[in-house]
Amino acid sequence: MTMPRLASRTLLILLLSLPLTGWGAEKLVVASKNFNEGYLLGELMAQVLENHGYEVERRFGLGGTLVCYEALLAGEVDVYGEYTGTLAQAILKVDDLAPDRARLNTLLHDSPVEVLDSLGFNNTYAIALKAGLSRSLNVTKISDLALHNELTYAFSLEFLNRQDGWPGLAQTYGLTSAPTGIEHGLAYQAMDEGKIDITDAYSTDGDLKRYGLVTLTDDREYFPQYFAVPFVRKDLPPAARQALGKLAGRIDDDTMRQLNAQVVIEGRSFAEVAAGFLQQSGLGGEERELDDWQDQLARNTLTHLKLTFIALALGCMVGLPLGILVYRHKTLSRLVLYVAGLLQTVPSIALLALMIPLFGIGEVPAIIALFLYSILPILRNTITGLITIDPLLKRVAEAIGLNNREQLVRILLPMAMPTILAGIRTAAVISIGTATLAAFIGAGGLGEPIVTGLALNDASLILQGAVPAAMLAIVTELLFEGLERLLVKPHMLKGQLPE
Amino acid sequence: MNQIAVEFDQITKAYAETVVVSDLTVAIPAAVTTALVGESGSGKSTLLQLINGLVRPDAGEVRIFGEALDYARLPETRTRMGYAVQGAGLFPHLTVSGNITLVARQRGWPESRIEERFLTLMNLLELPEDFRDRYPHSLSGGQQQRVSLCRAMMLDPPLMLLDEPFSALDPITRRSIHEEFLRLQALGPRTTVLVTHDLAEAEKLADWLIILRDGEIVQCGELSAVRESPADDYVRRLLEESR
Repeated sequence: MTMPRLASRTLLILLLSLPLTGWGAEKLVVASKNFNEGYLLGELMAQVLENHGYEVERRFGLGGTLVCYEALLAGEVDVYGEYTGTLAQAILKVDDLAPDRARLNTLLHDSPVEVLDSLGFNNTYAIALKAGLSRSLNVTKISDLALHNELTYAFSLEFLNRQDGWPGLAQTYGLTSAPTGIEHGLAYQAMDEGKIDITDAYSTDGDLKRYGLVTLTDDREYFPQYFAVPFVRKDLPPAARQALGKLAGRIDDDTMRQLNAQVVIEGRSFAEVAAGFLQQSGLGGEERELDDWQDQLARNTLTHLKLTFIALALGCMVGLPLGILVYRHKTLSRLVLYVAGLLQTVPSIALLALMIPLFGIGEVPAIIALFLYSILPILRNTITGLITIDPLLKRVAEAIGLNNREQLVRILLPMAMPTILAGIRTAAVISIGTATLAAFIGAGGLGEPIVTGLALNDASLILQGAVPAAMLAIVTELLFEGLERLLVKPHMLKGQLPE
Repeated sequence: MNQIAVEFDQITKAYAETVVVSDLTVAIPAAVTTALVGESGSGKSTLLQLINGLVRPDAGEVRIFGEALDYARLPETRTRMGYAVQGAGLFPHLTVSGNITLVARQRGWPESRIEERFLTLMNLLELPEDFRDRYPHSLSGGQQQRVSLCRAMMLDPPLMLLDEPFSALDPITRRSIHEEFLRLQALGPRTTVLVTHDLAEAEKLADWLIILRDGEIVQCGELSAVRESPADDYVRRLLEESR
């Protein structure tokens, strides 16, 4: 048998080519969450560190607060950008609307992580209106609104209904207007057309720039504070802290709004915008050479293939022998299939999140998760293929004097081959699809442009990941069809899809 | 009775709660064809499968040419027992030649010897040589059964075990295969055990009869002896029906 040997050799080569993270003292891992400001924060911090001589590995677009936090705790990540409000409410679970650095670090006393000084901006809920209207009515604070009942209010449905949204705001400031609900994506447009005057916004939203809107000061400090802070490991080298410290207080709400706008409205890359800001602010750096999209596509596709292939190879290496081992025992087969089926029911993003405490972030946990998903189809089809062979033929194989190994290799596996191949094929296609989610835990691949595209609401970026992923799935189908033609005689393919 | 090929010594075998055979002792003579005759459920197939170890007795001993069957070395023992079943039991993924020569290949026979034996058998069973690369599904039932007999005889085993190989065939095909079978047996003496529910077939092909009913031996002896003096009414009725 040369197939398993070939497969294991290929696997070895691929494993050796995995980047060995955590080697070399001067390499730092910077992560980011999967929305545009998160990417920008990550890029700013990464470049500042690079400008101070560190080698930086970027793990951008991780799937949310939990993933980032777990990865930081596990030491897989050295720093990422977090918000004070999120830290207090989602991570530390305290009811503190304005937690400062000292307060947060007291709460994090027993933890291996801490926050550094804020970058300066507060990305919280805000009340927005046109700059011209603000000037003409002389409205700059939310409390000024109480004097202007003639204004039309429309809020996003979430803000309108949340207790910490409009109801509380109206109470705090004594506002009596009756706002209507509006889809957030349409609110700015409506405002532009003069249909509404006041809406809710995020204070650093780049779109505020595009529509010439200003936000009102929250003079009674109603909204919780969401100051952006570098969230770091306590064992971060002092020089790296110093480097990150240079960003402290350098970016106010308006600057962040501008930077966001450069990405969202002007369509510039995160790296470009971050480099531009750092240069302007005298924080060093030179013109950055950027990967063009072909390079990125090739790199993402290769990573994607690597993730899928290794996971599939592992799936075969476990699924096939396990199926062969248990198929004779009905109860054992059933038990094994239940367990494999159970794995399948764990939502992929949840499975990926569960991997972090165990295996960190990056390619390894992604491969393990994909591997777990690929087991079921392979295992189930192996067992089905083997148990559905005509018992008479099994008896003959035994009676003509073949030993157990010969029966398996010469008779049982070749007869089960169409079913087993179909299982591997299913696993391959599922893996290619699921691997796009691997970007949430920093494994890269074609999910990377998808995740970034989702964050930027950029359809063309999403397609840059989705189209090649779909093509890969089709190519895989074709490859397996060829493989089937090579390994299985046409008359053995009963009940298969018509040509 | 000449030399003994197979001995069943106080064999008991039960499946779950059903006792198939109980304390059964009988011998099968060498170099002739013995028919195990009985209705379904009589235990005749179980008896056949006790010989090649597909079925292991709960008690008692099976001896082949004087030696107790060694269950630790079954594959080796089985290569000295040809095996053919009802419906031929050819492997669908292997060609005619693949089916016939499989075990010889596994045992490392040289290619020239395999080819020679293969051609001899194809010839004997009147199978055209260009069938070699065809797959079983493209052959008729009779052709498949002929291939199955070739496979059983490939290693020239001293013992042949045939589990109703002819019963699924149409009468005309069956008759012509019967003729070939007799011709094969005439080439050289070989111990053959044939399971059949058809006494007429047994009378045509066998020299020795073992008639079974509900796991017990009703009568055992040379064909002529059974014909002359049936042991009881059951055998008498079987003989009459087969006429």
